[in-house]
Amino acid sequence: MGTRVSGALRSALPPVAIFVVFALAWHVATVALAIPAFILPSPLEVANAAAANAGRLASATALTAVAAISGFGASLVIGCLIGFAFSQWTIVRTGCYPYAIFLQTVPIVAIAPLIIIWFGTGLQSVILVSFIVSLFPMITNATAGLTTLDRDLVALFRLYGATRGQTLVKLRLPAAVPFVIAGAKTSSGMSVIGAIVGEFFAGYGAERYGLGYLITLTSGQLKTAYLFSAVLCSTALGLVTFGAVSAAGNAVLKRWFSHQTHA
Amino acid sequence: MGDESTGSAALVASGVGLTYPGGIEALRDIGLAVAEGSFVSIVGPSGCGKSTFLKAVAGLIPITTGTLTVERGDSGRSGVAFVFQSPTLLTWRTVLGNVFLPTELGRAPQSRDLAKAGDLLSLVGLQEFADRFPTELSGGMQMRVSLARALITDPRVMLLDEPFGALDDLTRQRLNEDLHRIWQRDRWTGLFVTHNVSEAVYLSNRVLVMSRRPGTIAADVRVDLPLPRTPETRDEPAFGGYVREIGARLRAEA
Repeated sequence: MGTRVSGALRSALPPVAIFVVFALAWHVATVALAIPAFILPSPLEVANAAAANAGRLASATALTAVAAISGFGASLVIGCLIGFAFSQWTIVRTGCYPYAIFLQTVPIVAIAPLIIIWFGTGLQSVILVSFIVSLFPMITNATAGLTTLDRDLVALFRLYGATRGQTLVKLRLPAAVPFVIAGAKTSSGMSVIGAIVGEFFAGYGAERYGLGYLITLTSGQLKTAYLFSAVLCSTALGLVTFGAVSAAGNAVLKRWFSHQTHA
Repeated sequence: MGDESTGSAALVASGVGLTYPGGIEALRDIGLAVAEGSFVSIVGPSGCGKSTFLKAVAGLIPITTGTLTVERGDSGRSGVAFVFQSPTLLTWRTVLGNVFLPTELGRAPQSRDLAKAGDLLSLVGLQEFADRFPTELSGGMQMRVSLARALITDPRVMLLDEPFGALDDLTRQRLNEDLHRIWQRDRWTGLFVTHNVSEAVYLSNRVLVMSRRPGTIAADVRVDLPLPRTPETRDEPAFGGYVREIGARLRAEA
């Protein structure tokens, strides 16, 4: 136990040290160069702004988290279903894949206003933007997972006269899990970005707002220290979401798929 | 090159040729009768089509000319089992779950015989690993699981495609000894593809040497070493004689 704690400490030490050095340099630079706080606040000012607005930041982070997790959840389920359809029927894949790529290439800031027009402001539109942004990696990974198979394993199932349903349930679906996990890791990070972009355009109304709205609000008012603290909360939310999905995914991989290394 | 004198044949190939759709001729005019209960090894240069022949016997690749029949015997056993070059285990199933997998497949799955799967694990020396996952096992142990899985359907013919090629020498010898012991016990008909001449001699009554592509049978050597073979068999002068003879035939083809 003692060695594990000291091991964790040792691996946490370098990034913490770099953070301290960076924050010190940042602080010294803002003081020495007399940079106005509305252009670049010192770390101390950011910390003060965060402390002064802790309640607002916490509720905004929670709201954005709800939108991002909902968008990610929808991507996970619907992405797997689309990937399944793509893997089972070639005609569906060849017919629909170009339109799936549309999800990846369309600038979300361009269609977000349309979504607001169609679905109104509010949580549902923010979730929808988060969903659109995070769907594509789920589709491609689930499709790849369901179509990439060990040829000898397929031969084994054929040899024993496995039905199509048996091959699907006992081979294809479980074999796709590492791919779905890889897709979920990418998708989870993107869902947070999607939720924040969605909030740039759609508020929740009536004093309830997420990080995206807080960022546009504080930048408009030149409350730069407050803006920084909102950006830090966004980063932290993205890291926590990605970290949680990665940890859950890695636990599954380690238990059932440990010969495959999905970093 | 018949073996009919020793009893009924479990496997008969006649004029078997196989050309891939791309035009590559993999096999040409293979004629062969494998006696029921015998163990036959196939050696040959890389890419000579020996694995292709094995997969054709299993019905996994269609042949283009000739006939290839796995005879229906009266031993009560039926069917063909295949052991691949890699263990081909499902990593998300336990060792025991992998062994009884074949009993779950097919249009009318047989009753899942857990006791039999357990016995087979004991046979390959893995009774204590039933509830582990394959990735927790060494390569040699994974291959033992693969062997147990092949045995669960009581196959009449066992097709083994270079199953021990990836293992170190010592592990390979141990597995050869275990495989030989299991064959002695069950007397299924074995068709074993390998690059390793000494392994082929140790296990077989008969060793076939295949030519370069298009593969055909270039030599058919009967191995008259007493059964059962033991680790000491490898030290006998006659064993070395067979290894040298087959080695020379193989070099002539390579």
